[in-house]
Amino acid sequence: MLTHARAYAVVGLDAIPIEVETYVSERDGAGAFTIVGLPDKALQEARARIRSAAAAAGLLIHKAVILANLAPAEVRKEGAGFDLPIALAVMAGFGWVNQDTLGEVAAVGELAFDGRLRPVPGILSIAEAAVRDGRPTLLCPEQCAHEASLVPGCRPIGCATLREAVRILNGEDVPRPIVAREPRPSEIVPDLIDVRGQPSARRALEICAAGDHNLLMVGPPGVGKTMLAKRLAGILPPLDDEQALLATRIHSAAGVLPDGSGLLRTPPFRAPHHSATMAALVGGGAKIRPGEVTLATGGVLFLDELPEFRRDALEALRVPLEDGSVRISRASGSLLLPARFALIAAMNPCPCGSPEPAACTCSRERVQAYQRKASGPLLDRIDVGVHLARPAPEVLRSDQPETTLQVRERVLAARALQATRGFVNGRIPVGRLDELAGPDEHGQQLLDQAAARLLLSPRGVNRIQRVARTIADLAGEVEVGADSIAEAISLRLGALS
Amino acid sequence: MHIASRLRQLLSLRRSPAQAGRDGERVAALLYLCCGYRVLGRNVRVGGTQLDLVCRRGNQLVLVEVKRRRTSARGGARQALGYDQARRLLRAGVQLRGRYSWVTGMRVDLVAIDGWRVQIVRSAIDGDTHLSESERVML
Repeated sequence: MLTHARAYAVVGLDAIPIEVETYVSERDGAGAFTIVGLPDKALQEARARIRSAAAAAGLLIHKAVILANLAPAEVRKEGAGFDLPIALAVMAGFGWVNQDTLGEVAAVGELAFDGRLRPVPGILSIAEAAVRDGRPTLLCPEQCAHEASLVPGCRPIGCATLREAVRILNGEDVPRPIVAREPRPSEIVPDLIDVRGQPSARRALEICAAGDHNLLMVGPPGVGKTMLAKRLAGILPPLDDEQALLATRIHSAAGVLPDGSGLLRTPPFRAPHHSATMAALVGGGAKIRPGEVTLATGGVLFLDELPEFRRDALEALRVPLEDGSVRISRASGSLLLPARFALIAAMNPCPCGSPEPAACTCSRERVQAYQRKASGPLLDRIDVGVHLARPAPEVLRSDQPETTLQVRERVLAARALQATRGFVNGRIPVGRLDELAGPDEHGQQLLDQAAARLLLSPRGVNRIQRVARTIADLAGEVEVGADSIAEAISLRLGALS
Repeated sequence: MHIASRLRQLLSLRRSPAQAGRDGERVAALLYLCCGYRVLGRNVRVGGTQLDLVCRRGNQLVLVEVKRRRTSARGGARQALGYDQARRLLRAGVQLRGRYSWVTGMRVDLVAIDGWRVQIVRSAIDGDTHLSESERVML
């Protein structure tokens, strides 16, 4: 008997519908279970899981001759999420599940040997695809039901076991209500009050948080670069609905969404280690996986010890920094992934890491080689640069720094101003730059002079305008004045020197 | 005489190993007959493979391999069916199936006889473990 079920394959951040067709030819035969349609190893092994889970549900299928086909045949299917749809289609073939009801729902889930359903990554993408596909009812593991219910229009049915799924499909059980899982207490972000001294770096951090600009901090070890970066998450505004859904979908598809977290409201903060490869940063792999730049979308990508990163990995950041997206092409296809993040980078002035330039023991060549790792084109995309020096002991003792809450208030106010214009300052398109962030007369004069004297690239000028707009917003000024332009220029020079 | 004791008698005779094996096949044939199967043939050769018993029940073709051992020590009769033979049996079954138009299903059973203890293992050979993926699709 020929039966059907609907499954979804996650491709990048999207999911595409997969038709599961099964043909049960003999209930009492030579016991062969074959899955065709480009399954990977994990999916091949679904045969063992489905047999065992079915037996646990009291339904013996191990002597049957079963063919399962996953269409379209040319799409590579990966992972264990197909266990449940295949199992249900097989059971429909035996007449244990009503084919008519099965035909109207979508299903996803991995089976355990004892018939329990295990959660799978990418539920959000799958739920969205199911709604688009006209199948709002999604049978899924109970741990995933809450996540799927975040998609508007989706009616997930969480099942604990295969048996429960079968009973619900046959109308013998009613679906249990979806309980929002206990959200994990969000990680406590350390407070800015811990950082003593470094007023210029704090100011730069505030500007970057307010306008989504890229920041480079240069300073000897131990002066607070990493401390500041870690405290950035606290002053960033929460994600709006659209951004939150996107960020959640990215994390879900990458399988890194913590259990029961619901929509991600806090901007992601990604801090990959400097041994990260290009594929880890921008995404890649045989099955294209989102990289750190995509995971940081809507938030911050923090690269500590910038020159220690592999050169190819750093250069690969150029395009996402400019476009806010990254296209990855592999043999399996090409994908456009979002990559809109603010880059925060930190580096030492030289490899020896001496606290004062005078005490440096590095040779000139080594220093140059070290600093060259942060190449011109990459630096050109960094709007704000600050040098951090060792603070004096009395500053460490007496400094009364602001708290995260105080800074956050100013950032939120500046962001509210930007919201009325429709763009975050760091993302104002070039075409509307003059209209939205055009400086006043004095500012324009200053900018023109600076561009000519300092050999600024047109992109550099645009970036200065954006930063100046943020500085004016933080000050609550309507016009971008010469002061704001001047500060923006000095911040930019800090990045390039 | 009662059928069970007749079978028991057949299996309790002192025989040469070869003759004991043939006794086992006769016992198996009788058992399948008693269970409502039609015995289509014994010692059927299909492309170089010897099938001990070919039966039919309804529209299902059932191949039976009979193994007999003196004792159940060292694995006994159940363990006597090896991988290669299992493969050959399955493939012979696929071939044989083509000769009958009525066949809708096929399975391979094992009758394992240790001394006079008889055990029938239905679907003893399964395509999953004994056939490659492309061969499995033929089943």
